[in-house]
Amino acid sequence: MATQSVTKTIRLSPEEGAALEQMSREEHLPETTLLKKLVLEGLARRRLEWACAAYARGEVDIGGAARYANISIYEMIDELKQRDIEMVSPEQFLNGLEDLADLFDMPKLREVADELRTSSTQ
Amino acid sequence: MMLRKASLDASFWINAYQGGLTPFLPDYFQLFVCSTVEREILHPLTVKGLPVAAALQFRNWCDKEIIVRQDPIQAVDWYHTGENAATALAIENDYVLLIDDQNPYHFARSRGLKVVNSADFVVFLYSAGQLAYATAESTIGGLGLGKHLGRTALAALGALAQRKGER
Repeated sequence: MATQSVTKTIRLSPEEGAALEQMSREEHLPETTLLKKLVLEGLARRRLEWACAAYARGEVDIGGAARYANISIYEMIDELKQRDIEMVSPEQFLNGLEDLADLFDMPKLREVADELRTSSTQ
Repeated sequence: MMLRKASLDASFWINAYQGGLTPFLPDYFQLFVCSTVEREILHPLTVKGLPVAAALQFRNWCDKEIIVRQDPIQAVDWYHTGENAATALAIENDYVLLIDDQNPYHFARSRGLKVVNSADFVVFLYSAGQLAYATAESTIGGLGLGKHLGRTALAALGALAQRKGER
């Protein structure tokens, strides 16, 4: 089956056109190829930024963010870490400690979770 | 110690592997994974042909049935398919949910699930005497948890160390 393509036209100022021409020479790429490359890179970057921001706002989970950005969950986790976007909140962490205390009968873990919860609210 | 049955999410596995925590998991949990999560973890191998170590170990453990494949009867419809299936599996079977993803977390907790993340597991391993203080501390640092969570996890570690008389 033949691959379909669409044509998009953009207008550039003379300075922008000259800059594109110069980059085309430097990268040894035809201008149209370079333009396509730049557009695709820009789209990928914008989608990744949107995915990270949406995750930070609580709108998507990691899998959904990765799918939107068209990257793997491994890569998405790395991106979130690089941006210091937390995947677990301190409150969820303390809840998890309490769950582990219950599951494995470790009262000290519960004590610590209670202590930290109390100190964080003071 | 009695093994607890747990549904594994990709986020937990990836972080736990990065922190060197996976060898401890079978000491405490009988691990179950649904097919959508399995696909997410194996993605680098199956789609990109990249021999990512976390994916290789996961596949190896599935082959040896250290991780058991099990799908939920009915997936919940809250978030992305992987997290939905992992959560649904935990709900249907009353499993613990192992997940490092804060957005589906509230839904899982609201259904009464016990939910554990990789930072919890580090502190737990220190409490259980499986990790030395310095190792637990460096593991928390290496997990890349973010400022707030990292600080809280280190505080938990410090409070436990005081109770153990190690600090």
